Amino acid sequence: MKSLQARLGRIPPLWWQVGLLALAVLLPLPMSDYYRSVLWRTALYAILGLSLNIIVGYAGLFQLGHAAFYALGAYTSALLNLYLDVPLILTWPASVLVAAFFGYLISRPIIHLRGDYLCVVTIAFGEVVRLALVNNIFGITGGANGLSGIDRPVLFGLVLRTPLQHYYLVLFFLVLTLFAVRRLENSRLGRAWVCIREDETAAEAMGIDTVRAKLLAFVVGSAWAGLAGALYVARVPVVSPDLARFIESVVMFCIVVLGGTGSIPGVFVGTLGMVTLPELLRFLQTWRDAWMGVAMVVMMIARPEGLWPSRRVRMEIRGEEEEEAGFPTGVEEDPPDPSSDNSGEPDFSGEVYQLYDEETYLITLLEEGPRGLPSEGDPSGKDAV
Amino acid sequence: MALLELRDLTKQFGGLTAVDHVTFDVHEGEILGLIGPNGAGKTTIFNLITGIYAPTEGEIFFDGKRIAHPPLGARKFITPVWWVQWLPVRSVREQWDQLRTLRPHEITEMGIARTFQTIRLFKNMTVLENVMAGVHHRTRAGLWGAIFRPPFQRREEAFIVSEAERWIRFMGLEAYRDELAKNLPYGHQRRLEIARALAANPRLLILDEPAAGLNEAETLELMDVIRQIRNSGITVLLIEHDMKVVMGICERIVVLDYGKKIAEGTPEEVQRNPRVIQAYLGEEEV
Ligand SMILES: Nc1ncnc2c1ncn2[C@@H]1O[C@H](COP(=O)(O)OP(=O)(O)OP(=O)(O)O)[C@@H](O)[C@H]1O
Ligand SMILES: [Mg+2]
Repeated sequence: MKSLQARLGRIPPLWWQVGLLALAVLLPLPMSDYYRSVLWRTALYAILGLSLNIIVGYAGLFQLGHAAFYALGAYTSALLNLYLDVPLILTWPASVLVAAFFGYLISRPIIHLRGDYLCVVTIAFGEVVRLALVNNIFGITGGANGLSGIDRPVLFGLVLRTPLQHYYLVLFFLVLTLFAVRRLENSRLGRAWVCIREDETAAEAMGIDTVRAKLLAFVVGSAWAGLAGALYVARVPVVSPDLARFIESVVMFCIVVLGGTGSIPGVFVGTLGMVTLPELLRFLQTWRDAWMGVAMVVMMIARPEGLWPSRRVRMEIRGEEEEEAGFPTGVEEDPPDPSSDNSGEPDFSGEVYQLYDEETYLITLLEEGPRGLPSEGDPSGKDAV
Repeated sequence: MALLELRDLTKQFGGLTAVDHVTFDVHEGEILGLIGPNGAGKTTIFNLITGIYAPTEGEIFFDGKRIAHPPLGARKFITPVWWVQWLPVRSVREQWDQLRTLRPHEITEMGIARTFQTIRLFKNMTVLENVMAGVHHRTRAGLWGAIFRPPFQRREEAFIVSEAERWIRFMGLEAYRDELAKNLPYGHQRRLEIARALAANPRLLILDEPAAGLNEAETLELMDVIRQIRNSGITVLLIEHDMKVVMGICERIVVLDYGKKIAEGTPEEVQRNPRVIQAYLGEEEV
């Protein structure tokens, strides 16, 4: 895999970008409708994976309720179309906004929670959304059966019906997403996210508003999942609470983790592994899920950084090992080897206290909340203003 | 008026009083040393200044503005009315700002940058990227800027890079520009942390044991750099155990022991002070 990565790295970027795009456009042409649907699903989940990657991969927030935002987007689109007769494409911005709004609403009070707590809250939120939909909230969501009879989208007078058309629609948004995500990665905001993932205290001390940056990641990721939901409705004019099932969130999470957290190619690898392959192996039925489980476990042991990791994450996980594998250091004049530089190792005994500081700062963040008001035994930190 | 004023600053961790009614000033343009035996509460004071902890008692003023005060009790009545911060009434917002404690990034924005006792670099980022993080709060581009890259964003990116490179050169790290922070030798990591803090354009730079772990030559270079920083108009507050450094570059020294200030004055005065001598000797006896 590494040599493949290295070899691919040598081809000028424009070439393989154009090549991949051409492949994506031409691939479905000789296929049957079934395979075109599989491609559509793949592209849709790639969008979902990329959106979740902003939250999990860049900002390092554990979000295990992503499907809730996907469902919110889908229901927004469906409801606006069914009750207000809004043409489907005009509902898409609304889907994005609604998902963003809920993303803000749920992440604002919990954003400073530590990974595991955050994870629990997002799972709970996913379930709340699903149960609200099942229980026919406001009497408009159609309960467990969901909603049907949604219009087909009309683009420039053309009614999108066939799997091929829908594939191209989703592909268009996928390319858009890729474009945006790559630019985000390499920007002031993207760097701030990496800083936060690396060392939140230091990031905050350098003047990065960590709460704001993390919120932004959460909201943007959620909003984009909302769009994916709307695109789903465009192709499948039936929505049901199943969209918000926990397993959907897990699949999305695995897409990000399997391919390599924080890595864009990794999301595609993950989508192929978590969505496309199981779809193609449908005939294996019950064995499929068992194999997925086994594969995940094996992978986490053998290759915890994912199949196609971003360079940085690989280093975070593998640490020193990778240096031996020879990353070009880029410095010619032979700096003293840091690992053998033990002579300069400090042996101040105050280190113990400092470590203590670092530990407690996390707790400070957790308990006192972003404004640093101390909590009086309230771990939720919801009154951290 | 002093640049930084600590007034009766106290911090308790449970039953332990780490900082005990400490009062001192840092004047504009000076190098002030903060010394004391291990566990005296020096780092805690830094964490109070930079907003990582809120004081139990006392206040800190920076450039006349209050940057830290105890959140005591405030929380109970403040919490239900957090929304007032969004009221379009200026006086209400000012009141609100008085009540709440500032977060570390806000204090950095006001002009205080720091380094850490145990180096806290962004290890898997390059030297350049590390220093660029310091410029973060001086620039504005957000989500839209990142995606659409309007001219202002491109100018800003260029500014970030040039500013970062300036401080990399200042700290003599240009050979390592694209090296990962964690691959730097220890001494250079210390320098990189200072470069990163300087990139935040501080008026007050606070250094927590910058010479810890440095060899003789590196320490001398560091002293030189700190003087240069001060000469460029930045006030420096530093913690240091290496007496050669402290006595060599500090104009004034504050001595802490068990959280209390036991002496303050020029290096000569402090060196002669019997309480200081006793604090340091006492430590050795243990
Ligand atoms: N977060 C914390 N929670 C509880 N106790 C703490 C915390 N941080 C520091 N302390 C305690 O406060 C006292 C002062 O610690 P501090 O780190 O400020 O000392 P210091 O003067 O920086 O010492 P050194 O020279 O060893 O770095 C110590 O007794 C330490 O154990
Ligand atoms: Mg200390």
